[in-house]
Amino acid sequence: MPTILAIDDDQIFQILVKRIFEPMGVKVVSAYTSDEGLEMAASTQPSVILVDIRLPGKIGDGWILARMFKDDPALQAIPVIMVSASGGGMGLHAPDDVPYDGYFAKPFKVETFRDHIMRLLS
Amino acid sequence: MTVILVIEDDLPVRTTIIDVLKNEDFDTYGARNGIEGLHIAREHIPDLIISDVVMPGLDGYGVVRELRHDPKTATIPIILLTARSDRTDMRQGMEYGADDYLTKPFTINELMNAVGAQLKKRIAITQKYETTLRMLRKNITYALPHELKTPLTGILGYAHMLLLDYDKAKPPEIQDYAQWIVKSGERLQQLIENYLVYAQIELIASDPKQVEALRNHIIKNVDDIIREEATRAAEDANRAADLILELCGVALQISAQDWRKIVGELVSNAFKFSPAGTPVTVAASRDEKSFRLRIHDHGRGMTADQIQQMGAYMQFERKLFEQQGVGLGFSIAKSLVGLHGGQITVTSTPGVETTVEITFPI
Repeated sequence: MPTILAIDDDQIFQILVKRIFEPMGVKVVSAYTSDEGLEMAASTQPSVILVDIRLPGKIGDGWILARMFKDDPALQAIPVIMVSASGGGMGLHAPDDVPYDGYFAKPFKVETFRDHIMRLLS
Repeated sequence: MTVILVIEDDLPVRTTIIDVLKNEDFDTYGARNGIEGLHIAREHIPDLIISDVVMPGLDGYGVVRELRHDPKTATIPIILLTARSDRTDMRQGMEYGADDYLTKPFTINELMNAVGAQLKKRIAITQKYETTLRMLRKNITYALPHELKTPLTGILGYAHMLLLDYDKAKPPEIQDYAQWIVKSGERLQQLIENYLVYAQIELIASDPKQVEALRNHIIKNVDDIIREEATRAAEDANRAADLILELCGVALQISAQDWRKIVGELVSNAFKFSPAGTPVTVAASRDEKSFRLRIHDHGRGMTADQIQQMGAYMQFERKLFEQQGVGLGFSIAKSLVGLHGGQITVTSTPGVETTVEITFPI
């Protein structure tokens, strides 16, 4: 069963992701801090990782976490999608050296978000 | 270039000081008396003012008083020159807001040391304000949209789900979507309400008549609202069992609405920033002169710096902790306590506990 790891401290968002993807036959696991996210990525080996940029956690924000995923040979092939309410307007100010596979600005259109992630999963 | 204004009625003294300052590459203005000094200060906003105390017309104390009342000149450092060595006179000047004084006769070294110290202090203060302003700007620019968009994501997200699924969704699913829309909407509403309340408080605070009108309310017993708001905050956090209430039955000169807001915001914060299973104590007490409400939690705590920075549009350690509402709730409570003539203090040990105490005279 394909699995999405959603790393976001907002409970309303976490439940939304479950409601969107579970009916499509996708398992959704939630992490609320960057530390939890790192641990769960290693233990669940998800098919896609959603990373909020402004994340609580001792190891740092979503950018730092994305960098760690991409530096880890066991995880670097997994698509990392950044999701944030901080972007929009002039766009996302991504650090130059962080590789990531996609970005969604909150709030987003559920259909577009769902279709994009489902394409990654197929 | 640094500009210094010298206000001195004695021509030889004035000329000597100006010559010494020019020699050290300062730009200078000279004024023959207090009135002329005030005009120049308001027109040219110098970096530092050196003023004699005893002058015909407006004396040095008058100059200090006038400058401190004018927002344009209120922060300019002032050094008073006095022939008197009487401590009471010097104190008076400092109480009006002078920053330093020199007793005549003084040496060039003494003058330059005093000037150097004041300019250094001014640079440090300016830098501190600029840093605070930069932080404030950054928080308003980035944190505010983030706080607004987070609940909006829930509203639009679940509304989209309804639109996508309306023909096949079952009533429990529709109810679930609707509940999340309402929950997100309430969060957004709470945030907007707090911004409005904060803006309103700022307006009231600038009008003494409105402040007086506000203070004309009395509640017969503070306990009812404390109990209601503390219980609500505990239930909202699903932590009813963690609440410890101590009440004392006192009448207080405050509007019920504002008292509710103060208690609600402070107790909510205590629950928000402490883990489930740890007690939150809300204790009201009184002595002959004052009423006291103490709110204590065993949460993350704060450093002295963080306590100082607590305020509207400020947040801290975002990387470590989630904080909803950009510190507005505390600012609102603090302003309301101040408007009603009370005081609020925060003491904390990082990682251990936080105590917020409000005191009102009775």
